Amino acid sequence: MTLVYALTIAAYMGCGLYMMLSRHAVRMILGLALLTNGAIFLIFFAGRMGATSPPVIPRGIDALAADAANALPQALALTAIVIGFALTAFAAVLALQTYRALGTLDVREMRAAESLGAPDAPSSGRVKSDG
Amino acid sequence: MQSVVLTAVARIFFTIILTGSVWILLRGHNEPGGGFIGGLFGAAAFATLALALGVETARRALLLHPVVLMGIGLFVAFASGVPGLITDASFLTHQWGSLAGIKLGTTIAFDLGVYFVVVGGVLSFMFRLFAEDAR
Amino acid sequence: MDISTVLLLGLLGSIALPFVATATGRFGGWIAALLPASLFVYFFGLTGQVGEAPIVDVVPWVPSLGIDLTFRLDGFSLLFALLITGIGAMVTLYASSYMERKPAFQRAQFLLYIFLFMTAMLATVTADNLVALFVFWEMTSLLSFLLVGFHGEDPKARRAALQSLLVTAGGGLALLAGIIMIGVEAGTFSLAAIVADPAPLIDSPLFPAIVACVFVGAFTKSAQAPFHFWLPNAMKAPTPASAYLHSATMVKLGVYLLARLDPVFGQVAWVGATMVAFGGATMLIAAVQAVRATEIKAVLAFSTVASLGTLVMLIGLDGPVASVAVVGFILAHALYKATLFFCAGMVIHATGTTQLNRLGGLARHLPVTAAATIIACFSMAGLPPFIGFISKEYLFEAKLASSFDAIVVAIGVLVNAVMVAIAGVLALRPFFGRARRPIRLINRETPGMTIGPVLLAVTGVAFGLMPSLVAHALIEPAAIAIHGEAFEVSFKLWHGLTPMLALSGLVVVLGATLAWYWDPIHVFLRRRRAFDELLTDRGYDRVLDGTLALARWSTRVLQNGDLRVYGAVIAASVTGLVAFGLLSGAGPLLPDVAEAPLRPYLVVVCALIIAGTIVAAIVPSLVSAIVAVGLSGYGLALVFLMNGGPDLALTQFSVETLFVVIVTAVLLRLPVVARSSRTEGERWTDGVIAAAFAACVFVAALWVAGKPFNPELTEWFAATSVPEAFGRNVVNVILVDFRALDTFGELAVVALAALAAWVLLRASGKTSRSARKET
Repeated sequence: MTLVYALTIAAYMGCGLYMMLSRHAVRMILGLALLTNGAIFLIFFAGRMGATSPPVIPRGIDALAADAANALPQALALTAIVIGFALTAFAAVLALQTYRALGTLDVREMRAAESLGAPDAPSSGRVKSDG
Repeated sequence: MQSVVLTAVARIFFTIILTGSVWILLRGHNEPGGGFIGGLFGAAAFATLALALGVETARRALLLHPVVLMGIGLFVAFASGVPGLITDASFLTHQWGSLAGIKLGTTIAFDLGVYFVVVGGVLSFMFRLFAEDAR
Repeated sequence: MDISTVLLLGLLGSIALPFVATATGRFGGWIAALLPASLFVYFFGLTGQVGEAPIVDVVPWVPSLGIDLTFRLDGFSLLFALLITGIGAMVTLYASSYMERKPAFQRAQFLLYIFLFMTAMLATVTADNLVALFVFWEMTSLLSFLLVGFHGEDPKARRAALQSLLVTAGGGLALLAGIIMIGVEAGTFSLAAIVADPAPLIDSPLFPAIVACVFVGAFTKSAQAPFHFWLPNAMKAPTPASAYLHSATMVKLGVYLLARLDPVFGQVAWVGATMVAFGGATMLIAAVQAVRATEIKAVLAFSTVASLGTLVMLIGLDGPVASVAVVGFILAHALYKATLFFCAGMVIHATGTTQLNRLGGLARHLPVTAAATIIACFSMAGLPPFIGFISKEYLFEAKLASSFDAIVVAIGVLVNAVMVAIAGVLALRPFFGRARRPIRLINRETPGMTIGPVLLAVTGVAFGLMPSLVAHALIEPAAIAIHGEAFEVSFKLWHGLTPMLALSGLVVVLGATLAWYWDPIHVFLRRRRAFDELLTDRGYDRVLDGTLALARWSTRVLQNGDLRVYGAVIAASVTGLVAFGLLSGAGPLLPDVAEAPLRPYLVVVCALIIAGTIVAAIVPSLVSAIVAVGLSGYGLALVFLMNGGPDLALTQFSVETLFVVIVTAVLLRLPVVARSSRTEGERWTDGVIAAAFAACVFVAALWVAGKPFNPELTEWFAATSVPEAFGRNVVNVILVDFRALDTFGELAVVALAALAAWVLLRASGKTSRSARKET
């Protein structure tokens, strides 16, 4: 089962990266979402999966049963999911506004900075030495 | 959206989901649940209302501006940590007391703050996004 | 007074005095010259003491790295210190008159640079710690840059300044590498200690590298071939600076360092031979270029390069006479070359022209200059009774006594003959020759400008007639210092009829012949374009242009504005590094993982997730892609649910739903893009990179699972959740109670992201309306 989980994480990361390398803004956001999910799965996976009962202490007992799931990575992953969602939502809105401002979704055409030119232009007429 | 069915049942759905979200919030400390999940459900409730009856209705149902709600949430979460500063000299050390046999503590205030922040945050841009519909 | 205190006072005076002096009007130059003059007096007073034993002054700086400001004044350093301060005083007086008509601020600035340079130079020659020496070495390079580029409006001056800085500072980098290696191998940075015990350095395997690095540093500083081209170009500096830096003091620093390290390097035969080779090559190249040059300062610059080559060659020779020859030549050369530069400056100042073939008949108008020039030229030509003659004698004696004999003597004779010819031409043509066109006199000689060259020329004569003045006090301690062990030093005018005398006579005869036929030879050499190609700074230009072209090309390739290229490069680099790390570790690639039992339900769910991600990546339609991503997310939530994470599953379900809703809402407001934004080839490349990355992640994840697990924290949280936090949902307790501050920070992040998204949508109303109007 560990192999299956590792394979799933790898698929998430690989496909996410593939989509992030696209030049279309929305596809990049989807790639970001996939990468985020993959990373969260990795966090959960690192805490050793296998236990099926949730880390909730039954009434009357003071400590968690030994075969309960690991609570710490769950807390980390929960935080990560919510922040990832906020980030992805922001990215989606950004893509929308970019389209509205620049009229394009292809990042190749978002070259306002490049139009400023290169800092060093080959100087015309080189100065020679004498002697 | 002009679906009659949705319009009719939207308010019922809204109430159910909202109540559910509050219940999830309150039980979070001892059962699966908590501020984040409750907040997401609460945002879903308002989103349903907005989709069915329009953003204005949803905004009025929310009573406050979403960003204001977010700020209140942050403030409440911050305030829940101050008693710890006064007694234990450590911020966010939660204090507990008994009220009519039920144990109450500042954790519920913190969770409430989380709830408000999530609801307010998600709704702030979601309302705007839905509002510019059909142009 | 400690040396360090004196240097500090010198530094403070360097900063304050120029502005004070220029503010006082006519005698400003004399007042400013008090600084170098007083330093000269201080060092002069230490002469006897240094003859007994070197004076050492230690100032701690970075003890943990073995770097301290140790100043050590022995005979060799004292010689340099006296030259630096003495000539510095002359330069100050000269510069004040030379720049009389310039604005006061410019004069003050020039004097500031000169004084700072003087202080840096003094610190360099007295530094015992190699790292401190390097720091001051680079300071002199920097000040040379400022001085060469002093007339910054002239593009040629800027280019020359940049060239001098790039070459000497580049050599400085190599020198730093060499110094660090010396420090590591010898265990100390102190020159005195290294010279006293050279064995660890010589036996170390890094010795050739050390020698190479030190050579590059010294050769660039002292303008040896192939780095000689910056020195003639540095003549763009104002003449007082040329006289000070680029003839008498700074360019001798490389020679200084080589002489200091000679007790170490000299024990290995090939090091000396290399120095002789480079020195000899430099001498020949410089001699040819000197005959080809047309400007006075260029001729003098090339003759300086030839003299530096002579010095390097002398250091490469073995034997105690070579040490005496080195010291004697340094002294003689400084005296006559500075004088010649001063006189050249006066000629340029007076006539406004620098071309040699346009000058003539100036003896009437500039008599003092003419006299000083003639005296200095006699010294340069090596005629008795000048000190130049004595140094030439020792030069030839060292060459004859060395083990290289014939070829070094031949080179020496040839180059010295050229020097004699140059001396003759410089002495006679501008002053007694006939000018082709009548010359107009712009300025006259002034006392401030003439006192320097006259004093230096007279000193040259005095030392020549009475060498005992300097032999015991100055020459002997210096020669002993660089030879490493004490020996009997004689520095006399007349040695009797010796082979050296015969050689000197031969040189004079050859030189006179050369001077007679100067014009045809000059024209012949000038016409040979091959010399232009080989001997000038074409190589420097090519290297500089090549570097800039490389920079432009790499920017065009790596940072061309295409976001995908940036992403692909980053992804490929990260993948490469991780793969390298995984593959280069010892042991098997895949770890031993305790196999958990297969759970069919979850296998199906994971297969669905994988299918969803692959579909999302491949499918052209964005709506389908969103659905596929949502599907994967739901599958992930199911995985969480079945592995004991109900909180997590609930959150993931909600977030995935909201994500699909929001992105669809955004997508509805965007146009449909028909074609893919990547070409087929690019998609394959990205696929390969992504697949490699996925493989690395797979292996890394397995390694993570294979590591021993430390349940300490988990058990602590589980155990204290009820007693201390009164909560039974451990995950929520961790979030809200144990790690509440982290959650609070997370709330702030969520609030900020939402706020940013909200603000972005605020401007939507206006923008979309105005965009609609335009379309």
